[in-house]
Amino acid sequence: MLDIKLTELSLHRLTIIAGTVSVQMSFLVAFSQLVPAHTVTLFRGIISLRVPRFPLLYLGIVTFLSLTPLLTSASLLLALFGFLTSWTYLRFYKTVFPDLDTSQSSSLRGDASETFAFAEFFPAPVKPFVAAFADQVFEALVAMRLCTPFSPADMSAARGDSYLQRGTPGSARAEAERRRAIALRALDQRLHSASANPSSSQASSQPSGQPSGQQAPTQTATTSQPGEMLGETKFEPDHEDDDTRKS
Amino acid sequence: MPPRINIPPVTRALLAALLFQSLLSAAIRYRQWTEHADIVIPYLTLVPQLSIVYPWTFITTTLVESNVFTLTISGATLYYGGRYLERAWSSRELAKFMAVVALIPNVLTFLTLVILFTLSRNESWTYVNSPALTFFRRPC
Repeated sequence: MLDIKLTELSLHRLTIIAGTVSVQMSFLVAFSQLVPAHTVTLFRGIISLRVPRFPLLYLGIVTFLSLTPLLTSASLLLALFGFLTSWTYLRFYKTVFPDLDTSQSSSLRGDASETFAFAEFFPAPVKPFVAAFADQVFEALVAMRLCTPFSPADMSAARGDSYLQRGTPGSARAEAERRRAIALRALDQRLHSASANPSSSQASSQPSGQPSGQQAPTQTATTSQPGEMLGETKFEPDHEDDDTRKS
Repeated sequence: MPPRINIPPVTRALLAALLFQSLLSAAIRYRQWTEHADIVIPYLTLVPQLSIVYPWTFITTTLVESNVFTLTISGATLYYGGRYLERAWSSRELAKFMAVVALIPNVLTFLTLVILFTLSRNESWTYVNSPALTFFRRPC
């Protein structure tokens, strides 16, 4: 076996880098991007936190736990690098899908909206300092040509103001809304009529089960009693006729 | 009607890999258990000095959990978070995101530990706990 018993080596107690800590941190960052205004209440309303507060809170928890034997110092580093990596990827590199209504090309990379700036993760007192520091870092990277600066078009697209760029997508969306409202109204009417006639479901199942059921209502409408709904027929006469017709 | 398992494909694969790899690591450590040694598995988890020859460990180590407590937390996180994100983004986007988030922090942590080890010229940075807490672990 290739795994090594450490008494045979002079190195002992090596830190093992393992675990899903970075994945958990990145999920928190992703939630902060998707629902930045969402508030989570813990402990039955005693603590209510907005979602962007959670990454730093998680980092604090991991820091505390890494001092105990539960987590290693590698986990702390993993959490920190997971935070930075996921934020950088989501901010600058992830392709964002535009709305299906618009005919915008899908060459939009990153999410330039202001609510996803790095400073939003920090509480209000320290936010200006973090924002200034982050701006400096970003401008240094732009000067080194590693990042492209954000244009105002990028920021408005991230906010979802697609109607600023073209006139027709706005009206197309209104058109789709109107069509949806009409379809909903039609569905509502159909549901109401279906629930108003409880026997109609029973009547419709019998003729639909038989292949020649369409001929039965016209033939037996004169002979049988008229039901509540047009096309409703009595069971026995149809049964004999259709059996002979089938065979 | 039998209960439908409503987990999207990438999340399903991740949960299965988490369970499989954690159980594998636990089985290996159980087979090799002795009183006086800590077991490391350089070809499954990422061990700073020993796993360079096994490059796939940079990815596989993310889904290895060594105790049941963190395993359940990881499972719950992957289940709920993975399901939500796989629906918000597509499966492909989630797979790419997971690859990025699993690989790059592992590499950075690895480099940080190796650099700190080189700078301090002893193995204390690669120790599991600081020397003040050594009474929690059995000495080799």
